[in-house]
Amino acid sequence: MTTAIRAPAVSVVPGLGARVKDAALAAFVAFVLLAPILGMETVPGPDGRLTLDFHFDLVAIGALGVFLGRLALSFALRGRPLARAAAGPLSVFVSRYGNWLGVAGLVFALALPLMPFSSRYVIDVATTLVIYVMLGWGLNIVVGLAGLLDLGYVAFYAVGAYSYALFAKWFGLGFWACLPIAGVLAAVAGILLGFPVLRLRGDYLAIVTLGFGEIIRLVLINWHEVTGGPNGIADIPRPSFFGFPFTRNPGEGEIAFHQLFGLEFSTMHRVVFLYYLALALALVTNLFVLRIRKLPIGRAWEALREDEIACKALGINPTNTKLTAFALGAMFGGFAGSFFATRQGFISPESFTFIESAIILAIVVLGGMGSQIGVVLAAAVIVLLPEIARELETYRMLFFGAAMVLIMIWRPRGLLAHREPTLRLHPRPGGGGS
Amino acid sequence: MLEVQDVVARYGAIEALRGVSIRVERGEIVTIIGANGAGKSTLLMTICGDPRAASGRILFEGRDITHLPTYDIVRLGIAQAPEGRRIFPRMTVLENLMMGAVPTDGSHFEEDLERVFALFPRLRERRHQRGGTLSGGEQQMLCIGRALMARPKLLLMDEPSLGIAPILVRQIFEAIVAINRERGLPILLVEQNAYQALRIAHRGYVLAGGRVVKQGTGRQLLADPEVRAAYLEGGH
Repeated sequence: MTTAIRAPAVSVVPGLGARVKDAALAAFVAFVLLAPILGMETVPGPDGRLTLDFHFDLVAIGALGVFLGRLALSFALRGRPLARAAAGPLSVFVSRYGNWLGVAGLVFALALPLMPFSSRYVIDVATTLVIYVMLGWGLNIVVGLAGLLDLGYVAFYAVGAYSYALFAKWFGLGFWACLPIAGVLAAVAGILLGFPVLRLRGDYLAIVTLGFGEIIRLVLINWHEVTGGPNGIADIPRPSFFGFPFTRNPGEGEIAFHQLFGLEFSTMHRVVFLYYLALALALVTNLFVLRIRKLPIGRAWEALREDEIACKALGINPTNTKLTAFALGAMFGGFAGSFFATRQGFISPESFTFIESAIILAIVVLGGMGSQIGVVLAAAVIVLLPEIARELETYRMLFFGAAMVLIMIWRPRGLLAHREPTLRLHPRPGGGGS
Repeated sequence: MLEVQDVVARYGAIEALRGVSIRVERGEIVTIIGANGAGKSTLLMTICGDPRAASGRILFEGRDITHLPTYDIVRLGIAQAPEGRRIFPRMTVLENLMMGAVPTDGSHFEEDLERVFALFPRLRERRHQRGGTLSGGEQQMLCIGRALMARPKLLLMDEPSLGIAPILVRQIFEAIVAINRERGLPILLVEQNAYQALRIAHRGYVLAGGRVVKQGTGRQLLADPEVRAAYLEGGH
């Protein structure tokens, strides 16, 4: 109640003293950070051992730059916060034209390989992007809808990838046969993890899922006989076009893809096929999530995120509800994992480190927790920014990090924080009030 | 209908209920009044299995529900309008009501929705508004409406008048009486606002220090000098 009678929004313009103090504080923080990063350099000494070189001039320039920048920023903003309200024009636009945006995006995605600027590099990056979108949508079930902070999502990605690799290698199963197996195994892993830990909440759950992700990675490294340990699994069967391989010289009795369609052999065929495969998998994920949000279980996830106690009072079994979220989220991670394995042809525990979980989680949070289009935008930012910044070379990741920080300052609740209601009531004849 | 027999409930070492016995019969409004910390809310929550009764028995329609998990108790037909309303703030009014219908098979959804809207026309007007944007009184209406969507056999209400504008308090109490009369729905009502609660209740219990210290019809308790002195004097 008290918030309603807050003073009218007269922005309090801070005095010069306050601004200088604020800028000085920022400069101090910058100094502490820059001292080891810019100020010290290891160089080989005369006897071949490393010695430290100090560059205090660089640190001073950096801190001074931050001081002046911060001061300029405070004058430019005149006391207004940098963060925009959650329902900014972007959110409103997307909620109004979301369907058209989705259709336009889909048409663009379908036409991408035919575009004049399309090249092997473009298709490769696009495939990576689509896979991250799919992973984001999968994790969105767990984090965005059910509100369970999962820091170990990459574990399910790994389970899916290794499932495909092992079943394809040892049992000669094709991609389409392995895909459901990978999904089921990942879902089982999700339930195995979920069962003991779902009574935990918030931070505690996050820590345990983090641990689970590491356990899976360590098992992959140490279980030599099955996973090949740190060497990983190589020569994973590449995908075929429903039984027609993408090879120049098919084996005895086989017909290759290019022969089937009477085309000139090109390595691009496989790249484009993989792209469409990823797109199809991502679309299935999206349709599934859009549909399930409108079913009782999906609504129960969202309710659970908002108020677990209320859910219990309404006859919802929170454990089962969370387990389904975990299992289904894991399943899509598993699908994405088996695609990853068939695309790369080689997998090792290196590919499934914590940073992957962090990136996928960043996509969901940056997208605005629960927004499907938000995930696409965020995945585009996270996958494309480092590509765009390639020319910055050494400073690429610094640029990437700064961009992420800026986005979160600009939109603290994610790019699209708007939540679309799951049902609307048709106006009822004689119902009144509609 | 509902029988609570000598129930003890603890939060860690603290005994919140020290052997409470109450009864709710078909068609009754029963109220529980008492000071802060007397164990009123704990009693309602214990009926729903959270916290679990350390000893004693709870029977609903003759069936022992003492050890059932909360969601099963709710599915047997005990709905609650919990303390603090606990509506889902980011979901619309309609979605909130839909969540209330979870224990049902959904075949009566439209009909039940109409009955809730008839009871609280305000909710119909705001059906596409997010729950968090409603006023306190409207949220309470939503909370009660959501509980009714479960087609309960017994309704538990915890402090429905808490933090609500006085004019709406009257409306809420009128609605409680209407629900009870029209549907014959028994209601167990926990209230700080002892005067209003006793006025509409068929029977009441006074809780103090985790024990029932007095019981009687609403009228008897309203007239009782001790009850008057402890819970009614000084404004209602």
